[in-house]
Amino acid sequence: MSSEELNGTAVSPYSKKIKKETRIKESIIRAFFLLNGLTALVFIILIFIFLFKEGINAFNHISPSDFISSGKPDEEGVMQTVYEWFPTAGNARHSLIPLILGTLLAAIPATIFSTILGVGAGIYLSEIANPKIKEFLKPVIELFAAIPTVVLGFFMLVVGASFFSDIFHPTNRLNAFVAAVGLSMVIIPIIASLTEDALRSIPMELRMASYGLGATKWQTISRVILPAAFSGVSASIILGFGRAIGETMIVLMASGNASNITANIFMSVRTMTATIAAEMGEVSQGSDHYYALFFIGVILFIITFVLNLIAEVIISKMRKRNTF
Amino acid sequence: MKKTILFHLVILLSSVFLFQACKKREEVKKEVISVKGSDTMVNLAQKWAEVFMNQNANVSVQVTGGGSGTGVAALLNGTTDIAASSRELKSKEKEQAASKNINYEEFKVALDGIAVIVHPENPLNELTMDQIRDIFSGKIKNYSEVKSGNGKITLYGRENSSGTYEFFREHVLGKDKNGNEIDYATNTQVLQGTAALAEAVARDKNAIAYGGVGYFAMRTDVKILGVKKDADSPAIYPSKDGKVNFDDIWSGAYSISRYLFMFTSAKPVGGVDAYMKFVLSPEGQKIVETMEYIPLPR
Repeated sequence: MSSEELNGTAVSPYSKKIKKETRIKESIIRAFFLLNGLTALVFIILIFIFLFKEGINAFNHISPSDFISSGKPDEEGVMQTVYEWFPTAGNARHSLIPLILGTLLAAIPATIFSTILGVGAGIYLSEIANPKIKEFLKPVIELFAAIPTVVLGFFMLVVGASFFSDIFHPTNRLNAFVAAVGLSMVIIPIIASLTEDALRSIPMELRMASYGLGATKWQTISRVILPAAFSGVSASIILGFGRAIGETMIVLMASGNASNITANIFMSVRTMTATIAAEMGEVSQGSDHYYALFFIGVILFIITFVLNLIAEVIISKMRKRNTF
Repeated sequence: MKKTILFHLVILLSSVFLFQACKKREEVKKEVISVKGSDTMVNLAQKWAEVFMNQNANVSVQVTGGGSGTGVAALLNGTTDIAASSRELKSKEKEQAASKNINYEEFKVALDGIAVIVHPENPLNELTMDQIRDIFSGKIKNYSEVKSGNGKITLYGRENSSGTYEFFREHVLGKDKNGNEIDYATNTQVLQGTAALAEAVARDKNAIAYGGVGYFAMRTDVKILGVKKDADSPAIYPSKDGKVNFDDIWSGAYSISRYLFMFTSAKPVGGVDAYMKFVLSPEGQKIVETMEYIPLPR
C-alpha cells in the first residue's frame, strides 16, 4: 500500500489539515453518489411524465364516461347500459368497473388474511418469541417475500386451486379467493416485518411500567403495546394493501381473469394489473385499447401512490411521537 | 497493489470489448430474419426455422410469439420481417398498412382446426354450431339445456389478443339478427395459452373450452366434441383415434377450421424469400403434419 493512502486514512475528515488530494477525492465521491441519487429521481420523473402523458391521451380517444359504462344494443336492438371490458370487440367497451371491483375482490380479502397472520407473526416475533426462535423465524418469514411471485402464482394455479376447490367447491376453480391466498403469501412478510419494527420501537419503559402495575403479558400487548404502535401497524397494513393491488403475476395466473362483476369471492375476477400484463404486449400502438391500458396504469399508479403516501405520513408522525 | 488491480481491470474490460467487436463482425455475415406473431403458430414457425437454418447456414431465423395482433402490429411498425397470424388482416390493420405505404404480401401456410373440448367424464359428445355459440356467449348456462346431464357450464377461453379468440368469435359466435357482434360471456375465464387451457379443462368437470385440434388430439385427459353444422347434419369429429381428421378439415366438412397466414412487409427477397419458399415446399408442409397442424391440401 502506498504511503499516501495511509496518510489519507490517518487524517480525520474533520481535521483542517486535509490534504488537497483527499479533498478532491472526497468531492468526486460525493458527486458520484449525488449523481446516483439524481438518476433515480430523474427516472421516476420521466416514468411519471410518460405514464401520465399516455394516460391522459386516453381522453382524446375514449370519453371519460366510457370508462364507466357504455351502451350496447341487445337482441331486440334496444340500447342497454353495460359495464363491460371488451376492448377488442367491434363495438369496443372500456368500462373499468369490472376491473376495479375485481382488483378489490382479490386485494381486500388478501389484506384481511395477511393482517390477521402478519400482525400476529409480528407480535410473536417482537414480544413473545425467545431470541433463539426469533433469530431463526425472522429470516424465514422474510425469505417468503423473496420467492418470485411467478412461482407463487404457478403454485396456486396447480396446487392451491385444486386444494381449495376440493374444500369449498367454488363456482370457478380459479377464483378471487385462490388469488387472495396467493397474494397473502407476499403480503404477510411485509406486514409481519413492519409490525415487528413498529412494536420494537415502543420503548421498554412502557412494558416495564405495565408489568409493574401487575398486568399480564397479554394485557400488556393488547392494552399497551398495540395501542402505542397503532399507527405503525396500520401503516404496515396499508403498505400491504398497496402491494396487493399492485401485484401482477399471482393474480394473472390464479384469478381466472373473467371480468365478472360480483361480490362472490369464489368466482373468477379480472384485475387491473393482470389486464395490463396480458394485453399490453399484444396491443397495436396508438389504438384506443392501448390508451385505455395506459389509463388503467395511471389509475393503479394513483391508488398505490396515495396508499404509500398515507403510510409514509403515518410512519413519520409515529417516529416524531415516539422520541420520548 | 491498487495499480495492478486497475491494470488487470483495464485488460479485462478491453478484452471484453475486443471480443464483442469480433463477435459483431462475424454476425454481420449472417442475415437475421424475424418471425413474430400467433402463439398457435410459434412451435410450427420455430420448427420450420430450425430445419431451414440447418440447410441455410447463412440465414438466422428468430421466432417469437405474442399473438397474431402483436405480429401484425410489429409488421406495421417495421420491427419484424414476417408476421405469423392465425387470421386474415382486419380492415383496421389494412388501413394502417395503406397509410404507412406497406405493400404486404399474404401467404397461406397451413390450416388449423379448432376443437371444442370438455372434461373426459362429461357425457356430452356432440354439439351443433348454434349450441356452441349459445354456450360461449352465455345464453346456455347448464348442460341440461343441451341434454347432457346436469351441471353449471364453466367457460374457458383465450386472451382477447389471441388469433384463436378472434377466429372463434367471428366464425362461431358471429352476429345477432340486428348485425351486432355477439360477445363471449363475461364470465369466461381467460387463460394464457392453449396448454393452460387443456390443464384447466382436465381438472374441471364442468369445463368447456376451445383451441387448436393439433394440440388436443393426442391428449387423453380432455374430450374433443363432434360438431354439427346444424341440427340435421351429421356430427364431424376433428380428430379420430388421437389423430387429426385431415379430410374433413380440408373439405370444410368440419365447421370450425381456418387457414394460418404469414405476412411479409414487401415482396420477399433474400432470406425471407428462401424461408417462405421452404415453408410452402413439400418438406415444409411435411413439418406442418408432424407438428399436429393441418398441411395445405395437396
